[in-house]
Amino acid sequence: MADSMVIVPDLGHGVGLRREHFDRVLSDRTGVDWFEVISENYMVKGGRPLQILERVRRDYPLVLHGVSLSIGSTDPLDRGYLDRLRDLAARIEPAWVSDHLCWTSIGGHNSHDLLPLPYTEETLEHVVSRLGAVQDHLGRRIALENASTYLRFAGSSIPEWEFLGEVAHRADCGILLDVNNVFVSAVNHGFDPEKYLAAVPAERVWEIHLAGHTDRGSHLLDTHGTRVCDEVWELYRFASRRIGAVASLVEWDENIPDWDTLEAESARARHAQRQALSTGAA
Amino acid sequence: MQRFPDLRGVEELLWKLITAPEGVVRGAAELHREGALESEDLSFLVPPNDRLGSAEQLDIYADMYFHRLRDCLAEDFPVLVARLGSARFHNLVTDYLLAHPSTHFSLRELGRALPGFLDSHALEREFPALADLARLEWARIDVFDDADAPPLSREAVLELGASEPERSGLGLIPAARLLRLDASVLPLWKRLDAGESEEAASAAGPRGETSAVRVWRKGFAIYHRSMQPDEERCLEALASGGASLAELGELLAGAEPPDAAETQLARRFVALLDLWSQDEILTLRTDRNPRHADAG
Repeated sequence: MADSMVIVPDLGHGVGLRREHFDRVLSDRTGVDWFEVISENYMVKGGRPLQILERVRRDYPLVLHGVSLSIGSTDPLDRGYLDRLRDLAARIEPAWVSDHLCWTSIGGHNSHDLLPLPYTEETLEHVVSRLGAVQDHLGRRIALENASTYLRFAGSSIPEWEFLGEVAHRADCGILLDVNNVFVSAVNHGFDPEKYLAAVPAERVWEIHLAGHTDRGSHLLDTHGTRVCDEVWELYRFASRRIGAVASLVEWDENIPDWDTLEAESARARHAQRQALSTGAA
Repeated sequence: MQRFPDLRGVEELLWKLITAPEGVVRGAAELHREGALESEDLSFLVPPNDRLGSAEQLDIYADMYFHRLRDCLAEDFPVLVARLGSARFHNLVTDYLLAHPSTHFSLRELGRALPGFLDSHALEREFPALADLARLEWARIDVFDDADAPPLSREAVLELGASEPERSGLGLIPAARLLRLDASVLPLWKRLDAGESEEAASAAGPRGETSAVRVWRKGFAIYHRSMQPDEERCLEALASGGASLAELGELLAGAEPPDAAETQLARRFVALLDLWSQDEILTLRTDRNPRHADAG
């Protein structure tokens, strides 16, 4: 059963571990405090990925971040997936496990994309119920991340920030607050991102994500392919003042830069958080 | 206006729209013709905003769905892409995803059915041995993260041979695959992988005959090479249930001409054992009950 007394550590400032940086990360101590990995990439039988992961784990805290939990799907829960996630967590002993507030599969088919949910009472009850089953199966609480969205359903009746907070409260789970995703969705749907950040229950936030996005003219796309933009840095300082020091991570998955550039972006996050915390509450 | 569906209805409809092969607008028209939608207007589901219409918002997801999966397959099958060119590969992926939408939580499994799909695809007639080329690429993907097993060194194999040749349970490491491919595939793969043009590469090698190929992982690197029939026979035995050194010797003798000299057989046996241990494809099988275990 989920344990609501779990204390979530502030891991400091990390980055997503990507294969382009394996050699650098293993060769010498880096300037980042921790790494996050895509869980599904390591749900394999053996070979290089698992060996690398175990070696990195010896030196750094790790977080398992999934993309296929499909918590909002109306398909039955994939128990085989959950078994493998539980086994991987037992092997790696991550600081925590996270996934996204979305759905990815329907009718037995997987889109491999983070698809949006209508924010309704029906969806809320469904997600909370499934989260309970997932957390029981895994024997741990997990954190859910707000995804970027590119459409708003006609039937949605609850603002996303209220929906996210209510899911976390009712299911007793954590929140992985992606500040870039808040910004992308705010621009795409025309809401105030600070209103979103001000409404998220601070005590539930285990981790913050930062990333770059791409402006497609008619909408912003969450590509993780560029530096974090100035507006998102400002929102990060706003969130940090409100939430306090929580583990923060820079994601960079496309046009992956050299290690020094990525490490510098993480250092910038450390500086921004420090600066925000020294200037008091939002 | 059509009523907003329940959650199941939303997910089923969204899936149909974003996976429609010719885009959301045509997908909605098709669903309207089938009676699944009251009209082609999707504003009951996704209202237009000041920049994008209903279908345009859904198209963002349709584009992401297709491009993510196409890029994943292109990464897994780079030589196939080189053989076909990106436009043909794009169309192949369209056909493939319609026939084999992903059913696994991991993108790593997306291409598993592609070689079999190519067997009966029109491109196989235009590009002979295309399915076998994909089979080779998939085997290389498949062994990349297959289970680890400690390989037997040459010394360990020789020690086994000296101490208990009939009880020694040898096996093939899990990260190895035995294939039978069109004889043109290995030279074609080599030339395409080296960056030669499709035209130059397509002249490689004879077609129609098959050759035995093994694919394996040594350390973190992936290799493949062709095999002679005697090696194929021995490795099939090692893969299917394991074999003792004595059994391998018998298999090898059966593969040679009846008048082959014993010294010739012995030399070949030692050469194969050297090769296998150098390639790190032999492992000890503790689950095996050798045929001769209790004999004598």
